[in-house]
Amino acid sequence: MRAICWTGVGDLSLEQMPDPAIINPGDAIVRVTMSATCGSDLHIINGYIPTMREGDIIGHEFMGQVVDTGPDVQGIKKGTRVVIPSPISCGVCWYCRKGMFSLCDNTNPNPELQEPVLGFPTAAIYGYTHAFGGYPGSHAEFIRIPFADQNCFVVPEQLRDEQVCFLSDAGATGYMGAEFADIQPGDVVAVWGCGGVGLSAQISSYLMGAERVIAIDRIPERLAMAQDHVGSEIINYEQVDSVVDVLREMTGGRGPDACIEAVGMEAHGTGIGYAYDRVKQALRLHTDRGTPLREATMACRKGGTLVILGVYGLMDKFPVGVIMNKGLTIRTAQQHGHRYMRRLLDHTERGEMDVSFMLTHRFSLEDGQRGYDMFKRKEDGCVRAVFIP
Amino acid sequence: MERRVENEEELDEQNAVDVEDEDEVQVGAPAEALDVVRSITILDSPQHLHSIYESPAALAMIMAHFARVADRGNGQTHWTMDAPLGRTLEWDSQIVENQPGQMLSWRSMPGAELPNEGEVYFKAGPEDRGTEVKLHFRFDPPGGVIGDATMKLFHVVPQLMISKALRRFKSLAETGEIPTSNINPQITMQDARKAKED
Repeated sequence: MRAICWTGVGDLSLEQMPDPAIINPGDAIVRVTMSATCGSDLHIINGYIPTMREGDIIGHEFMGQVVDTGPDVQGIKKGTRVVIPSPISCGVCWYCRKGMFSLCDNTNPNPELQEPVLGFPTAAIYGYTHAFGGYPGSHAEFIRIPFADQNCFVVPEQLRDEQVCFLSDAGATGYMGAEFADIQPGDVVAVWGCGGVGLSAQISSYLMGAERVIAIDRIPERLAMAQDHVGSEIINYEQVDSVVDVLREMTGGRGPDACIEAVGMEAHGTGIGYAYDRVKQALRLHTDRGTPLREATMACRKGGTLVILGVYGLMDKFPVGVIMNKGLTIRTAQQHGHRYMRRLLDHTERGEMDVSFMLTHRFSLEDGQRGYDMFKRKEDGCVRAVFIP
Repeated sequence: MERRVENEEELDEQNAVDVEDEDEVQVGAPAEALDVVRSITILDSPQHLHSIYESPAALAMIMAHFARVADRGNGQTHWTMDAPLGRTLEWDSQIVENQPGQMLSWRSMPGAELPNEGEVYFKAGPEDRGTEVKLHFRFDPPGGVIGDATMKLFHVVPQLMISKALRRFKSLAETGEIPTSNINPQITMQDARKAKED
């Protein structure tokens, strides 16, 4: 089969790879019909998250059609159209039973790579480094899905692929962020980032009853999407002196009740803090550039909630004192997509949520490098590029 | 946890258990063995976990990242560990003590190329946490005192090997499967990469 493989820092190429087949009795093989670029792919492509190996198939936000099932698969039939959350869940361990699916105890075959860094291994994620399991990713014609009954969600017939594909990761991540924000009547939610996750968090915040949502970014097309498609108020951080000051004034001097950070370690920013991060990251002294996270911490009202959805490794100059003295609650996780997928599909069926507007570019697998280059540089208004294998 | 038995008291303690004289044939691991203890919590009963661990077929699946395990009957198993340059280390292992639902111990038999011994304990955890499983392994790596380095040469870091064995045990007990990222049963990702290089 054809697949987009990582071939070194910053390099992708189309390769012929062996077709996947059933290994464990709970497996299914899915023919991928749509697979999306995700900001977190940029971190692994660019070498900020270690344990990639040459020839690894990338991609973890996807959907497709079941073409084969193992003997233990009960609920999912061949021919079924399915969407699959990025983390792989076994469905039976203590964490899965508690709804913390991305912390699954049983799907990462390489615990020895994660334990030294995190203390304990987490769930595996398709196409997302060997520390996260080393599973082949979704930018391919076919993919093997372990525990298919647990990981495959049937897609209602009337929904189009572009309404569903992003729910696999960005949609679920944003929805989880809004749930973590514990939105109460009258709440103002500020969201850093208007990519797939940030926009999903904004849509979800309104769905969960936010009075107002304020979106922060620097790319005019993305801010326009937040304003036009979601109804968010917007701040272009390159056009203001201080995002924190602007947010304070927009909220009657209170600050947002919840601040959702949906940017991650390759954030852009302005000022001395950004320059400091840029230099340290370039020298590989730390992995993260953290302007949005610091801003969110400072902007949040006293006793408010700070939700971290962006992907981080190590960051210094992290304002722990601000968090403590202001009594902030921090909520964060890799997305527990299995907890939200039914709800996300229901919202989409009822017309309450439609993430298809984020799809700006379609490519074939042959255009892997070009797709990611456009996505990374946000050229031509690129928000989410998809590959149609 | 890894420690070498160094003080004399501990040596005496071990010798009291291991009554072999230095001149006699080595059974199990000697006192200066590499000593590793690791724990994991598994959502299953102590009785059922004991019965899985006791089964040579299950043990072969659990230890497949480290060695091939063949059933010899009567609580005996034959272990083969692959080493670089086509070499192998082989040994026979015998169950010594077996208390259903509680513990099981084993030791390698005379002539073992990687002398070892150990125990696994099963203890009910609090509330809904299942069973706390503690695996204790003592190895005498080839090369004696420099054995630690030899183990690394053989691509075995004992703590990680034990920790991974427990993870595999847990996955098998909880899900009936051991996770793998291989692309299909015939071809591992490593093979695919190698084929590409060739």
